[in-house]
Amino acid sequence: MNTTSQPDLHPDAECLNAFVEQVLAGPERERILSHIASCSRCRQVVYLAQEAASGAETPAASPVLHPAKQPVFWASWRFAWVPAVALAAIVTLAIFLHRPQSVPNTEFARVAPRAEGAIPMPPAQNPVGTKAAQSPGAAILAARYTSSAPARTDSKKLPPAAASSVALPAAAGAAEPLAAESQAAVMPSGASEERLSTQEAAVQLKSETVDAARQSQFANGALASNTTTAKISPVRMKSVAGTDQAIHGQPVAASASRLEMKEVPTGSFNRASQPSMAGVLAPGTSSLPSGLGAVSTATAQHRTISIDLAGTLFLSDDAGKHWEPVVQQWTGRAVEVRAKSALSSPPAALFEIVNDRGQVWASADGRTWKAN
Amino acid sequence: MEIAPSQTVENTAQASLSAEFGVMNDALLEELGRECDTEACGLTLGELSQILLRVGSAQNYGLPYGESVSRRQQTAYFRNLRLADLVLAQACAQGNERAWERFIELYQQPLIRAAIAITGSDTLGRELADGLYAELYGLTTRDGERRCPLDSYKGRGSLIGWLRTTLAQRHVDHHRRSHRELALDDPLNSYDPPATDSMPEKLPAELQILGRAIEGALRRLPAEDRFLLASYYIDERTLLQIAQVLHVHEATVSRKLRRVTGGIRMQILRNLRDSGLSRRAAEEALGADPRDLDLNLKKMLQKPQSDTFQEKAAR
Repeated sequence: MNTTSQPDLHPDAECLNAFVEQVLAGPERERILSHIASCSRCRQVVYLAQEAASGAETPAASPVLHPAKQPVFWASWRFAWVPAVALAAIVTLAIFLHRPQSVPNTEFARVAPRAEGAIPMPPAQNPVGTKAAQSPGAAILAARYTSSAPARTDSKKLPPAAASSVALPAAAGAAEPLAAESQAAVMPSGASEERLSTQEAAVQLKSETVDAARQSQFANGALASNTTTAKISPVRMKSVAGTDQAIHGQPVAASASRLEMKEVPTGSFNRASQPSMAGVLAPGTSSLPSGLGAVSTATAQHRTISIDLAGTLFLSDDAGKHWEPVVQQWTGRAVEVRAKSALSSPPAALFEIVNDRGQVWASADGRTWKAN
Repeated sequence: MEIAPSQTVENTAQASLSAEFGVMNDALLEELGRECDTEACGLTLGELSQILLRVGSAQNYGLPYGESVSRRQQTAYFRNLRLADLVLAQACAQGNERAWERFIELYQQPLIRAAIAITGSDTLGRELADGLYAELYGLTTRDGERRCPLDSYKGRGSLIGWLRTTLAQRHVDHHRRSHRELALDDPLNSYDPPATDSMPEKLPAELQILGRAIEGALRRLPAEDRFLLASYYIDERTLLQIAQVLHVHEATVSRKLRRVTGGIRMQILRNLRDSGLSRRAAEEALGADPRDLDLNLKKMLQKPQSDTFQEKAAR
C-alpha cells in the first residue's frame, strides 16, 4: 500500500500538529499515538515538525484566546521560591531548636535570689566587689540580674558587690548539694583548658572545653575519682544565711560545711582544686574577703589557700576563719591550686598554683612562690 | 507573489448558513470578533459569523455527530480554538486580500525557516516553502474549483504548527517517493542479485516457540510503549527527541524504556512457559542467538493494532 497515494490512511496535519502541541484529548491522543507507533511515515513527520518547532522561533501569532486547560499556579516556577524559602526557614528553625547543647563557651554567673530582709552589704566592706561593680562587666551583670529575677523584692537595693557575687543558694533554707547549687556559677577547673574573662567581668567565664566526666561528678556533688588523694563527702550548706552573711561581709562559720578529708600517701599533688573538694570553701561560696566565690582551694599542713573568681589568692592558717591575701608573684591568672600530700618526703613544696596558661608555681608556705 | 482576488460574502449566503447551522449570539460574536482582531484580516462580523458557524458545524462543536448543541457548548468550543489563527486561515482560504497580507507578514519568514530546518538545506527548504505557498494560494484546482489547504485548518493547534507539520508531510512524502528512484545508467543497477532460496530452512521447535512468544509479547504492548521502542530502536531517535515529542523529561523516557524492555522480557518468559517450557528451558531459550531467529521485529512492532484511520478512510 503506497501511503503517499492514499493520504487519508494517515492522520491529517491538523491532528498531527495537535498531537505535537499536546492539545488532543485522551482518547484521540491514544489513537494518534497508536497510529504513529506503527507508521514510520507519520512518526517521521511528527519528529520533523517537532525539530522545526524547536529550532525555529515562534512568530507573533495570536495565542489561544481561552486555553482549554488553565495552568495551575504551582506549574509556574515563578512561585517556586515561596515554598523553598518557607522550607529553608523551617529547617533552619528546626536545626536551631534541636541543636545538641554543647558545652557553652560562655557562662554567666547566676545570682540566686536572696532571702527576704537581707541586709545590703556596704560597698566599702568589699573592695573587690566594688571594683567589679565599677566595671562594665559588672554593670551588665547587674542589669541581667535585675531583669532575670523579677520576683526579687529588694533587687533595687542590690549593691554592686552583691551583683558581682556568684552562685548563692537559691533560697534560704534550701539544703541542696552545694555542687548542684553552684554548678552554673563555678567554672570547671581544667587548668590549661579554661580561660577566665577579664577581671572586670569577673562573673563571666569562658571555657573552651570542659572535662565531661569531671562535670558529671561535680554535678553529683561528690568526686569518686581514684586519681585523687582526698575523698570529700557531699558538702551541704547548712544554711544559706551564712552565705548571705558572707556577702555582707560577715564572718563565715566554718562549720557551715562539713569536710571529711582522707589523705592518701601517693606523694603527688592532690586534686584539692576540685570544686566539691574544697572543704573549707566550696566553690561558689563567698566566704573569702573579696566576697567572690572560690575557684579552687587546697589544704596542707593546716594551711589553706584559695583562689577567688578574680584570681586573687588567699591564705588561711585557721581553717578558713581568717584569710589574708597573697601578693601576686606569678604571671597570668591563677586558676587552680593544688596541695601536696603531707606524707610525701621531703615536702619541697606544699602548694602549687597553675595559671591560665598552664604554668606552675610552687610554694612551701603559701606566701612565697617560685616558678616551677 | 500576487494576491488572490478577494471574495466578499454576500448577506444572502450568510442568511442561508445561519439558517442551516444556527445563529450565533451577537454579543458572543462581537466579543470573539474583538479578540481575534477581524479588522486586521479585513473581515466583517457577518463573515466571521459565517466562518465560525461553518467550522463549528463541520465538527459539531466537538460533540458526537447528531447530538444537539447548546449555546454554552458552542461558546466553549470557540473559546478552546486558536480563533485568531483560524479566522486568518479561513479568510486566506476565501481569498481575502488583507488576510493574505497579514499571513505573509506573520508567516512568510517562519515558514521558510521551518522548511530549511526540515530539509536541512537552504535550497531545498526554500523550494519546499515556495511549493507550499503556491498550494496555499490556491493555484491547485480540483473539479474546476480552487483548492486551498488552509481550508482544512480547524484551529486546534497553532497555525504555524500546522504549517510546519504540512511542510514535514510534504517533505517526507517527497522523500519516500523519490528515494527509490535510481538512474538507469547507474552501474549499481546492473547488478542482478541471485535469487533467494525459495525453500527456507525450517527452524527448530524451540526457536519457533520463541518467535511466537516474542510476537505475542510485542502485540500486547500499549501504544506509547510501542512508540517508544519504534522511535528508539528502529528510528534511532535520541532520548531528547522522544522526550520533546512526548513532552516529558529525557530521564522519564529512559526509565520508561528500561521498564518496557524489562516487561517484554518477563512477558516472553511467561509466554514461553505457557507454551509448555519449563522455567529453566525458557531461560535457556531466551539465550538463543537472535540471528538464528527468523523474525522481522520492525514489522512486528509496526504492525497496526487498530484500524482507526483505515476505517476513517473507508468512511
